Amino acid sequence: MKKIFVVSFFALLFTACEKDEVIDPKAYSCNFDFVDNSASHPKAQQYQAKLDEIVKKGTVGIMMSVYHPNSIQWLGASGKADISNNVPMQPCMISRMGSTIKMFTATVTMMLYDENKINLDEKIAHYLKGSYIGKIQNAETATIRQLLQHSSGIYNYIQNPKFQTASMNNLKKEWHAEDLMSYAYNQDAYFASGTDVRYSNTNYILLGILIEQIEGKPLHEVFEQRIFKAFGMTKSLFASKNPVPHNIVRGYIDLYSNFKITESTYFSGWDYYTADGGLISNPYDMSLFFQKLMNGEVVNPKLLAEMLTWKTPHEQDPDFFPIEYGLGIFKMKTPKGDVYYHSGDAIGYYANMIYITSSKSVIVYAVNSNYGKLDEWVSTKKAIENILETVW
Amino acid sequence: MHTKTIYSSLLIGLLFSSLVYAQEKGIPITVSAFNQATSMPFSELLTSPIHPGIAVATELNYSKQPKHSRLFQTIGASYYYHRYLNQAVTVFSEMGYEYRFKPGIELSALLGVGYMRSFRNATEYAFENGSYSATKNTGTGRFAPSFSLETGYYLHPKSITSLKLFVRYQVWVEYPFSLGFIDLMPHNNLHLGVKFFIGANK
Repeated sequence: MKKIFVVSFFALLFTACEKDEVIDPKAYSCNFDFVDNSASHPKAQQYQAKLDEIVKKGTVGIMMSVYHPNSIQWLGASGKADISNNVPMQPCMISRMGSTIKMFTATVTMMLYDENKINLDEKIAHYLKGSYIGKIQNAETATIRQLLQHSSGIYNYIQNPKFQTASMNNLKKEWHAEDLMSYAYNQDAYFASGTDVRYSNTNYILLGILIEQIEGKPLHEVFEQRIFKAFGMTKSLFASKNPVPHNIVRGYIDLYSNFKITESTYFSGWDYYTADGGLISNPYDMSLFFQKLMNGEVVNPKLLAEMLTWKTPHEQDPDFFPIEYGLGIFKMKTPKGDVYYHSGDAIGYYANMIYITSSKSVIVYAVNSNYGKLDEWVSTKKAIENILETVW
Repeated sequence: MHTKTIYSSLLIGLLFSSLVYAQEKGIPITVSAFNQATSMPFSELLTSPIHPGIAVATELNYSKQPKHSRLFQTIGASYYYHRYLNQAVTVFSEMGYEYRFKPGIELSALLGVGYMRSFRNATEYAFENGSYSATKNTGTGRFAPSFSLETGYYLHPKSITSLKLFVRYQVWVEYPFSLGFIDLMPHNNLHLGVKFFIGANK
């Protein structure tokens, strides 16, 4: 009897372990619709060596685009897109780009402003009448511009420990706007609107609701029509259209901070439907967008200048570069010089898009692993310095 | 290693003394099924999805002739299965205080310590020599202190070996969860259980 119990117990432990999906590597196959001359870039070996170095530090896979005006664009990758099915990472693959979508959300908001559909200095409560407005402190006083610049003071739902534990409890839950915002209900605002700046995802959820209301269509259609199709981003989509495309690179997390990772491809359910996250793209597409935005081709130069109007937080993160807040874009003061950027995390994914102001260069990289010990060489000050050192 | 030996000896000693003492009236056994959730303490009672678990324990009474109240110690083991994250086996011991009301209703509070072995329930890849490869799932150790509130009903309040049905809300902490990232993870277990005696003289 005792033997049966012991055998049954270990059988349960063994069989309860889920195996990763078997995926035909051909499912990931991709190409660019242009001739990729990256191999002939004069610094191709140097860039590739940097990606290989980052993978050797523990990153599962990385894709990168390096664009300098008057030079060939370099596109490269290193590591794995899928460990279980032994699929190498390629630069044309698609990955989850998390909060980088905020730059796109801000851009669409500026377009609506340009079309006189909204007034940036009008209160968001003028446009949105949902019951959530009365439950989120400062939502009745904050303007659209303050939401864009994170100067609303509105509480960031992600910081609520109840949200963090709830998302851990149900890692495959698909969260919608009001589910997420409920974790900001009745939470103290960080400051009176307009008196400081502090990052809050809740701001961008409200902007997403505003965009859907003004446009009368779901966010994924708005992004597709106004951004992705309009600017040739052929591999990009907003997650609500297809939350986990069959060819998206697998994501991995070092949840226990011990360099032991598990797959997390289906765990980003709070990043599917709201305008604070949810971009699926690749570095080439994102570089294209950032180049065009900074050239004044996406919004006119006057509106771009408004996006690049900066506010400095009263307190800086001592572990990061000094930053300033624009409208959906940040300025970071690195030892090499100023850059504009927006980064983004999802569960198992990280991306960063950087514009070097002195050379008008655009660097975009995306990885398919994060958290725990993996962040050190990807998203920290040290990691960004390491990458900028090579690509500046 | 030394600490582990002391810890194991203490647990075995407690179990042994509990069983010897309990022989006089039979051995009390509690069995409960529970739903495990990562959740802030006392924030939610019922959560979904269900992460099922089972706990089995015995008890040692510190009060020789408990009437309205008793101080007791438990020792037991539990298992739960979190469908997306892990499965875990815990050995634990709790110090409890129970107060009985005349109709057979009881209220208890328990403070416990436990050692948990957590096994990932997805393929785990370890980073070695610059690349990842599937690794043996040997689990990781965790400290698991707990605090529980319980209410129950003795079916035969006058009998010292009465069957008891109980509901227990247990708050516990998993430490370390992910050092330097998320140092500790709070959990709640909602138990539905029964206490009975084996080997009791009728």
